[in-house]
Amino acid sequence: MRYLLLLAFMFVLVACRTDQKDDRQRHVSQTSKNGGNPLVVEPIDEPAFEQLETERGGKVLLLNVWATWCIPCKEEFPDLIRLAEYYRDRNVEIVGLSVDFLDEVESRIKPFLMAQNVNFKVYVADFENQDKFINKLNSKWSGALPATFIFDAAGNQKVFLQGKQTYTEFKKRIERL
Amino acid sequence: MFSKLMVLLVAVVLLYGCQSQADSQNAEQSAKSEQTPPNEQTSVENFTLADYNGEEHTLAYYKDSKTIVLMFIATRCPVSNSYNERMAKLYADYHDRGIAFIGINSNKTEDVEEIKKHAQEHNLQFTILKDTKNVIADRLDASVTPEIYVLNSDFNVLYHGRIDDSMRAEEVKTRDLRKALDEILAGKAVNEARTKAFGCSIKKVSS
Repeated sequence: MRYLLLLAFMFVLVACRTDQKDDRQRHVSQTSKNGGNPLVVEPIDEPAFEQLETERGGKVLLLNVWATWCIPCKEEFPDLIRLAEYYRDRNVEIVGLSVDFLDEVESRIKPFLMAQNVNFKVYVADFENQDKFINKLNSKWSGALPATFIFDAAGNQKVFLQGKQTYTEFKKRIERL
Repeated sequence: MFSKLMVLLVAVVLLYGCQSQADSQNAEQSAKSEQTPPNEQTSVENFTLADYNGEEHTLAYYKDSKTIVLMFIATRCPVSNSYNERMAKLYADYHDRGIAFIGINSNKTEDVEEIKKHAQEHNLQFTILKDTKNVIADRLDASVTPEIYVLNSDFNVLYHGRIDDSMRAEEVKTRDLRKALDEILAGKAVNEARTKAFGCSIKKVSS
């Protein structure tokens, strides 16, 4: 009986550790497709998004939240592509997060990204509660698009930009970190 | 021997649990330290703006209304446009119950002729004011369309936020504005007084 109890404890401990490891591996497999061919736009839920924010692996993160219905977001996109090209080997990761509907990946998101020749990873939001997500990302954010958040290599949010920006502005903000 | 092992095991489990909790707390604190609380408007000062026909409207004119609904809207924003029918229905359902509806267009890119045409095409029967130079949007810190402020007759903000939780009418789960108006009409405090949703940035003269 005592040994059974001991075994049960050890099982729980090992199971917890394994779950965490699996989650990390899943994230690595998502991000490793970044910029790959064919174009992959994966849904991202709250836990995976939190990992993206916090587990930086020594890289700065510029997260751009956009949508295909948002004209300024589309106008801003070429600047993000230029930025991703500049920072390709410089420990800065550019990630796009589309808040279009999940069923619009093929019909709207991918055609736009392909036309832009996107060179960074883009996810589509799969969040239960957009209100909670907006506040969690930054309580000062109204939800207006586009919005850009820059995290340092330790995963701390350092910059929040609401509205359309330029390549120069993005670069200036990153260099100031 | 067994009891020593058990003590060791419990200590390991506790240590593991404590470490996880400490990690999550540190992450939360560092994220919060980067953010300051938003400057939510608790009341609105009286203002005067002209509608798309050039007729001036002062907020004080609506003091007799039980509630005033200010709606920052747009003619070209797909999110705002997805709510045209819902806004028309809200007006139809509530305007004769002591609730005044006022649309405000603060986009520098949308002129009065466009606003008038848009209102006629989409059967928006409520007053729509042109906020030239986005003075009122700035004063209220409104930055997205659609964005709603519900005021009482003293112009205190009772509700601020979205109309509901989905651009797609068929996928709506929470009708936040209707819920707030129903609570106000029932003499209750608004339970969910601040909500948010993705929308278009208001195109301001400074941007």
